[in-house]
Amino acid sequence: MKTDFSIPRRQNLRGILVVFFMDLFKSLRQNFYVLLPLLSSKVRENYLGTVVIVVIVLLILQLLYSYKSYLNFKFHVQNQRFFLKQGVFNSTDTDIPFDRIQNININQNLIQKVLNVVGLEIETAGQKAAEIKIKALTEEVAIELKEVLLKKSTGDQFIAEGFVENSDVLENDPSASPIPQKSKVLFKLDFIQLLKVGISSNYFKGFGLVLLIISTLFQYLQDVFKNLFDVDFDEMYLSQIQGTFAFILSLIVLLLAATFVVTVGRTVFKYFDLKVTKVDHEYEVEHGLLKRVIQVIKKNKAQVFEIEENPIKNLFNIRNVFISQASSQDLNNKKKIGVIGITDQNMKILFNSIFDLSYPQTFIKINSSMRLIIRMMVANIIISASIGIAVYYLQGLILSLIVSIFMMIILIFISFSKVKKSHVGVNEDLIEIQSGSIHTNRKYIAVHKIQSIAIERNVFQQRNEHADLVIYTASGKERINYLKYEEVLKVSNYLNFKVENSGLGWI
Amino acid sequence: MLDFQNNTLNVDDLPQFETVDGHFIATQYLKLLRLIYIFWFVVLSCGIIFLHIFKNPPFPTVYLLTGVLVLLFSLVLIEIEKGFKRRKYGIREKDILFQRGFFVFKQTIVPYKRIQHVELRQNLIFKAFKIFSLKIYTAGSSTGDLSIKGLNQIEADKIKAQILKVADLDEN
Repeated sequence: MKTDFSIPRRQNLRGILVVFFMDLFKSLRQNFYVLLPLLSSKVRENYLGTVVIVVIVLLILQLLYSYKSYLNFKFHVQNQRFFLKQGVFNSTDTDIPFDRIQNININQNLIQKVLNVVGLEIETAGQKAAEIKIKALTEEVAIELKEVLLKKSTGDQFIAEGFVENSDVLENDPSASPIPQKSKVLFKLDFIQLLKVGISSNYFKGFGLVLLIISTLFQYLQDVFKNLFDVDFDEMYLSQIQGTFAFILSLIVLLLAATFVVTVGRTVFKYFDLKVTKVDHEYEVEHGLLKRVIQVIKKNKAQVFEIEENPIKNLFNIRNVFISQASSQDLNNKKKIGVIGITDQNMKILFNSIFDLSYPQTFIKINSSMRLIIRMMVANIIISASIGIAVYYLQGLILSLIVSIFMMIILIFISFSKVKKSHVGVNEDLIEIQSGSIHTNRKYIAVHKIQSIAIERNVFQQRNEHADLVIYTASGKERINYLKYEEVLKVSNYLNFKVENSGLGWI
Repeated sequence: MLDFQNNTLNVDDLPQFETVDGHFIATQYLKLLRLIYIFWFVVLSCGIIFLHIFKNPPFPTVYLLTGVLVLLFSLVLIEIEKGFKRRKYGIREKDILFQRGFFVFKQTIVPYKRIQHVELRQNLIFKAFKIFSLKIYTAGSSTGDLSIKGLNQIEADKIKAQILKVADLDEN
């Protein structure tokens, strides 16, 4: 069955509900504190009727809005362009030529899963405003649309090439255009492997998250209780803390357990059922429990290839690979495509398909100087001193000294291993940038994908002949600290020469 | 030591960007920087005096504020006066160089090939001083883009023409 995309059409009818629920959840998430007064029985008794009426009116308005936005959302395809009209109060017209389309992502969040529709995103190079999201299509229509948008753009190239060489390519075109989609599953992550990845991941982020959740929750509860029930938390809390050492201990254990659960949980939710499929020369990465995300790795768009390992991962014999692609926004973690928990062998296949080079490459390496540790120490001293002062006010001098010395030793150790691991390596085709402390993070960038190079030297470095090297790519910048100035000059001249004399483009 | 063995090119024979003699920025820009500096100095000093006379805050506040301001302004003064001599740009066959900064000296190399577009800007104050700022955009993150402030008309046009010429050659 073929869908005719040349006439303006709307989304799937279920789109009304998708838009409705997505907006509803969004406004709930932003305004959930409005519901907090309902916790008090006094408020409930007096205003329940009013509240219910207001909620119903708001819901109806929201539904009307969703309906109107569904009605006004129309798209079609014409003359190698994708047209979209949308907007409730002010209407927006977008039109995208096919050759500007970079990527098409099909994804499904929980709401879309329940309603059995998928969302489709069109990514373009450059303009941020031109990114398009269609929220509800049936899966068949979405795949058809994706094919139409992608096929036309490759078909275009066929014609363009054929035009120069030989015109009978045009006749061959129809047989060539139904894309022979050889899709082959390269790699699938089963649940046990996924758990291993979760267990071996970095706990600091999870810890921060737990602290954040607890502190906000605590503050909310404190406010609510104080205002509504006249209970003063501070007094209770303080009187308890002095009494029981066991209480603090159990609190710490609880915190650690929560951190563990949150960290592993995050990984499991995000990367559930990770699947890497090879479609022609591209890779499709699919993952997610509540929100299914499909991303495409394109060879020419890929900028940075990142390999992450740590002692526990080595024990499990797995690696995490992150690939950053050219993007209009500055790089954040969301734009990185994660292929986690893969074996060395699969990592080599991926590496090979992105760079056309075999994996362990030899590099001429330049290490960061040990002087870098002095710069890090400044931050270390501030951190340990401020923690020490905090402990001093709470628990007295001796404990504060112990804690800050302990902190200092750990931080010195971390800084030391950071400096040891930091280096940049160069060869004919690639740059290797290594960083990390306990974990090791290696980034690979094809030399011809460099956008610009900067060398930074602060007053001290100007005197002691060292420099920081900054390499800019289309997916962000990479910084290597405290290298010998002389060597930085050589590397910069070399890389610059390579970029300027390479026939290859960055995209 | 760096040694590119098994390599067709010798690193020492490559063009060396550090040997390029740069061009200085127009001195009007230094005047502009000084003017802006004096403006802020006057505004903030007046602010502190006003605070001291009319609000009369608790004892150490005014002295603390004054100390911080004096420190900040002397650092900025050094940066402006010493750093201006280091503000230089260089044009080569295939790339443009720019360097600046006293406390943090930063040298940037942008190949013409990677330039997305060039923008010549002039706001009101710049107009009064007859200078331009040239902004060079790459596809890299925004901190990697070059912004050469304080070029006079002739220099700005020259650089722009050079970039466009190379870009044209590239397309053919």
